[in-house]
Amino acid sequence: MILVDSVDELDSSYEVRNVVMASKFQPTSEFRLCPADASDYNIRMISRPLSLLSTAFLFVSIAHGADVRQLRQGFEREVVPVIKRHCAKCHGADKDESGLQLTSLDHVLAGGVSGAIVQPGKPDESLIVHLIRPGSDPHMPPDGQLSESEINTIESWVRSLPQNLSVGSKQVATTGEDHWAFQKLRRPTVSDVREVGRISTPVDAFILARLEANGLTMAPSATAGEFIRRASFDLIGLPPNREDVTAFERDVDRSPDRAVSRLVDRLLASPHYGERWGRHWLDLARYADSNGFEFDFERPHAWHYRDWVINSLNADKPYDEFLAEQIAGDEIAPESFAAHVATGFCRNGPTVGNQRLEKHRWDELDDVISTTSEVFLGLTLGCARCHDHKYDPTSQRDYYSMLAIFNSAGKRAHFIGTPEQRQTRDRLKAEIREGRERLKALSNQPSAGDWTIEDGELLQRRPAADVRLILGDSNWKDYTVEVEVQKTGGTMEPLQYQAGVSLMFRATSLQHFYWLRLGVSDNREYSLDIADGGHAPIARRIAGTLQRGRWYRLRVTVEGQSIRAWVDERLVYEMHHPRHDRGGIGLGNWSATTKWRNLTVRDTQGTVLLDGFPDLMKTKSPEFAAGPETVDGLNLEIRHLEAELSALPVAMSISDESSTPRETRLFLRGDHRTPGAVVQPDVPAALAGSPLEIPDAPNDAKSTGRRRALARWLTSPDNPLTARVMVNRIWQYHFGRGLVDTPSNFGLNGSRPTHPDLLDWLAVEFIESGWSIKHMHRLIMTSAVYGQSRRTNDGTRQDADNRLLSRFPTRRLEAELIRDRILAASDSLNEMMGGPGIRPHIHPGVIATGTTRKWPTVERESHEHWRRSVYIFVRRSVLMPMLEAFDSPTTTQSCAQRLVTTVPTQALQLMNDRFTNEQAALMARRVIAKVGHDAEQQVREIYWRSLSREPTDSELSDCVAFVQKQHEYHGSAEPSLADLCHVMFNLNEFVYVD
Amino acid sequence: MSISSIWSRRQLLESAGCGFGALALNSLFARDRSAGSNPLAPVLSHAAAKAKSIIFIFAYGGPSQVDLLDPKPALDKWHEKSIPVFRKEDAFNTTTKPTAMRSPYRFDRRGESGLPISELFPHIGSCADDLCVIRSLHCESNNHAPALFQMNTGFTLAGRPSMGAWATYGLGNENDSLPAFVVMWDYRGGPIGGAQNWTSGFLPAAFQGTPFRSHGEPIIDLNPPSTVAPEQQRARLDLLARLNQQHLDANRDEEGLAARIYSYELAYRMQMAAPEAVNVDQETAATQRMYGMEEPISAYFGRQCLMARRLVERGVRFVQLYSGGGDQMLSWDAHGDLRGNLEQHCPEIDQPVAGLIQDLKQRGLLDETLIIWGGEFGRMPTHQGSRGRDHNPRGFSMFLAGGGVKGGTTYGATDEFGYAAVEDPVSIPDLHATCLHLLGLDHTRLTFRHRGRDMRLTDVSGDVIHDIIV
Repeated sequence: MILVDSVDELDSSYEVRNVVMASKFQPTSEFRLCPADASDYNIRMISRPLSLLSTAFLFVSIAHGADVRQLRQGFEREVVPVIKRHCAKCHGADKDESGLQLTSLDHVLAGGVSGAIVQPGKPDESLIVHLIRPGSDPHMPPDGQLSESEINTIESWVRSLPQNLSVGSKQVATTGEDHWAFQKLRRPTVSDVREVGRISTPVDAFILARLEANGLTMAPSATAGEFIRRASFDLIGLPPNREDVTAFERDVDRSPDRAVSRLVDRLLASPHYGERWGRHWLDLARYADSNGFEFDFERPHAWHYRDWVINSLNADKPYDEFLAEQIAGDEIAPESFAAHVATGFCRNGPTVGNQRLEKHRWDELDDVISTTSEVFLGLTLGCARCHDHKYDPTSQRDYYSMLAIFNSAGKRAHFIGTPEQRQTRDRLKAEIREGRERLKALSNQPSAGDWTIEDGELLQRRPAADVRLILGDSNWKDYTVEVEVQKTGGTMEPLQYQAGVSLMFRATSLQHFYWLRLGVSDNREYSLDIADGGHAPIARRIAGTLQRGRWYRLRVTVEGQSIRAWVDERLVYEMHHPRHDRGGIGLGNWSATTKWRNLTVRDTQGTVLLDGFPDLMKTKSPEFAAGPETVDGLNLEIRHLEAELSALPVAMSISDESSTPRETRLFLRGDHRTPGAVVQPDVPAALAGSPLEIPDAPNDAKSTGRRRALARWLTSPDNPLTARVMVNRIWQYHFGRGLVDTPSNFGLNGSRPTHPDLLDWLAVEFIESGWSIKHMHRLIMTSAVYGQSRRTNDGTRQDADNRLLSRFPTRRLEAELIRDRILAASDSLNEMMGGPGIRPHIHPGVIATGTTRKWPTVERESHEHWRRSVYIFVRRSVLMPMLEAFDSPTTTQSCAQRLVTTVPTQALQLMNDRFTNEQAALMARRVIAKVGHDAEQQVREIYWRSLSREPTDSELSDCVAFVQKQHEYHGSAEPSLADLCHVMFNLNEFVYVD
Repeated sequence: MSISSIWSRRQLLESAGCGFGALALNSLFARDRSAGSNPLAPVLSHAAAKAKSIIFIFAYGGPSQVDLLDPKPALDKWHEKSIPVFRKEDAFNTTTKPTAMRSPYRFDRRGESGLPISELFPHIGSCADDLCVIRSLHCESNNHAPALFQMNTGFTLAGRPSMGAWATYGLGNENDSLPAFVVMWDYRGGPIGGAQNWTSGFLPAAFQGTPFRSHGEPIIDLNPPSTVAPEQQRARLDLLARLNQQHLDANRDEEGLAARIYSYELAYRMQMAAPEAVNVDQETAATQRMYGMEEPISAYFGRQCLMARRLVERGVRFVQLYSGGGDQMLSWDAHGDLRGNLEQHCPEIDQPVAGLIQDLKQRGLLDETLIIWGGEFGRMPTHQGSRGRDHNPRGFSMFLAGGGVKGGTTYGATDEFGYAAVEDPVSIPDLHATCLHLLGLDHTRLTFRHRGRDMRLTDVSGDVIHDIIV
């Protein structure tokens, strides 16, 4: 990725407020940490998986002509005491920071991951000498300093070493040769089991074999009702309705096996399948519609990636293609819009929006490398950015070799559309620009408003910008003005800093006065300002809001230079100001409508100067210059234009700058200011069994082809990890836990599979099916292990955590599914697919947490908001509270497995939030419309809609009694039923599926 | 491994004997962690804790150290002259100048300790003997959001758990009817980056900060909408409890169900406890006056400080208050007009913060409550434009009070201009390590396995500043 993009157009994410380009460290020529020519050697060494510790000990003995014993003695005598004093903590026997141990001569000569630390005979070229000199950066020891004589000791020791001594070859200690996940895939033979009758697919044999070995067996089959609910939530994330369930029960009675496969096929064919499984992938891909960080700029075109994922899964795009396009779609199919969109995978991470530092580029690349290696390989390669992996056989070099693959790519906002669409884009952009200018013009001049007097109250009915009305006598000097004001309507929009009401005093014209303002700064503050040509505060602002529909009593007293102001009898301002010494009063508001009453002005003796509102003809108000436009109206118009623009085919993508790759260097301790040796693109050494092959780019190539090579390597049938990792994920999303329960960590420190043979068998099957994900669903879901009941008597105790799958695990629905289930139950669900994200109601108090507060105020949700939760606009700084409470991912990093927490805030959400209460009311209305007023029929209908089953007898009588009791309380049917619907949304059974 | 499964096993044990155990959610986490039954690291109370709670008063935007806590007479001498330590790349804005700008404010020696405190903090100055001013902080970014994230989470990138989340993860809560970690913002709005500042990151969501509002219902959705009457809600909850109990009886072995029923009980109790906890009307007029609640300028923050005291009194572990918020210009971000900015914000918080310290002290709570005051970075001792100061990540001040720190002291120093920390520099991980230490937590052992690593608030660094601890 490049620092300044060569793009068709700049992403909106790059609105830059303060551009600061800083590179704090310029590598100087005399301070090269590792000679460039040594690097090739090191890479070759590392790409061969052999244990180097044995070879490391050979260095000294093969040094030509050197007296080995003498060398060792010199080292022990001169150097060891210094090392013990200063270095042993980090590079001693117990620790090898940066792969460097200084415990013996051999180790010192072998160096660390950044290569040799000693150049025999040449202290000035030796890294170790540079690092210990005063003022060096980086410096060793990090917070200490060797004395001059100690430095001299080291220098003269280095000088004394014979120059032909071989140095600088350090290999990571673990090769991972024996690690299960790195072994070549082979199809295991299917296990023999006793209970052959329970086997539906080979999957069952593997499961049963382990159960039987532990003296267990599978639980009995689930009921038809349990099964269809389970399968429906699993595949499409929505509950089955009454017709679905009864039809399936009929089918099961005829032929259970056929019924199951027909059900699975039907669900897989549903477009909702892609929405459900797409959400799993979006978790992994850390998808969001905004940048994150401070300004959290929107990514108006990011949704194309979300839709690409959903469509690809619906089409059962083979996983190898699905994977390849996300890494290298631009290289594989440069003409295809969809392929460019797919590379959004590399763009989904958070990015700083207001500052461009070199560091940010490396952080963004780190996000790409970490995510790519975790999601596709199940390796936590990101750990090796700063040091060799503590547990896995991945070295810092592996990390930077991977970096070399992505380093040439730049971020693009890639427009691929028809000429007509291009015209539309240009028109929309122009209209948005013009709209913003009109908005500015509107805000820059006072407007007349629409004032009338009715029943002694003065009404202002037009929510224009900066409405002013000046009245009274411009020769009044000292007086007290009192008036009551109420905001009756107007803006609910965020970012309306000026909005509010104002009382002017000592006004001599429309431009000269003092101003007490309520509800400014986005309805957060009161302020006391002066208008005098310009406009500025003259006192500290204080906290204060302006609520709609409530009367506020304002009072201001001016005497000489003294100004005092009260709101609701509370003294809010007391100060002196010399500028305006006389003038009348004024009333005003900004993007609001208001009414006013009980206006009086009295002089210091108590003489009434004004009592009630004068004839409006005697007041002063601005000309009708701004036309009938309102700020809110214009904002809305601009938002519509922006929505139209974001729907255009612009891919948030990556592509290489040219066919010439950028040079990539290893960074010492991960810090880009301390570059080390040049590295070549490669895959982790531990996996070098199948090497990375990068074909030479043809002359006319626009791209290095490195990412395509990586994709090809990842999807090679020889790759031991790709298929294993993916089938494990599929398994996990069906059973709640993978066969390996660290789904993005198949390294040495990850968990071992509970059923290794099954995992391998599935992986081979996956590849041989042509990487068909839907094939894997069919296989798993038609297996007996998937069709088990969750109830068992014997297995519960012995297989307490159900690792052996002696029963089907009950699972809590994910956040999105809870919301979707409510919408489905109330029959509000809008099944429209795709397009820019939707923004349902969020409590304004939550929106205020973010600085940008760019979330529209939704006074009332409607059909457009009631779409599936996967389509909710993902704003990183303002996540949907309900989804967040139920453990939706934070989107800053890839999320391989959602946590399931149970906390009181969830209960508060479901009990008290407007959403659940509104949907309960809607559901009640629709239930009555459908089944009429028979209480039993109503309860049955509610059970089917919310739990997809018939109520039991006791539930039926309980609920009928409840509805009748509530009917007595409310005196009408609808709210009583709504109470029952609301209870259903809160049931354990509503959020847990068997 | 799901969290619900962790604690529902516990719950089953509890409910077998005595119905729903009266254990707090978080202490359940804690107990089970110590039993070693889950991937959450063992709970780590490693040393005798000095503090039980933390109140972190975050002056968002970057308050100016040379005008508040770190007097630099050299700036008078160098006023309008270029200072030699200035480096262009440290500045955030391109308009920042290398010329010193003297502080327009006088510093007075306050208390028996004679700690120099700016005239902008007359009330805080009266608590000088309780303050430990760290003058040598430095951080890694000169940009608000990354610096905020670092101050809150240890990392400049978003997404790591915040210190409040770590602390509650380590210690649990003492009051199961209130959240363990409470956040309150300035009336102008939240800080930049919003909830990313109090996120639980990869820790379970239970440890995330809960925003409290200072007026009206303290927690969003704490109460049903106004259209739902209390007796109506009660009837709903009764039916819910009955149906859930039937379901539980038929599914005794299922993890999570009992836990979820319990969470409704907690939520119900929270509906009573939270409004009570923040009801400052119960306080005497004298107490309210002590917090500056009678002055319009400090009324809002005074209310929040008083709420904070009431929360820690009731066992809340971590309270974070933000001063400054909403638009950046409404924070302590004094780019254009240093005086206008400080003279707006200082009087807003001066008396409330002092009131909080004094009130805690008179109630005997100061020893067990650590107060932290400071921002995400400091400000340049040089000009930006003619009247402002730019961000300064290289040297800035914060103060601590109570919780086992030595009062009336300073620690570390910046250079003669207040530009960069030169003596005993304190990094953010050092600060975090010290705060955790005061809570009795060893920052090297408070870990959570994530992405193949044992993650820490302090990552790979952090040294406890023992010199400032009693």
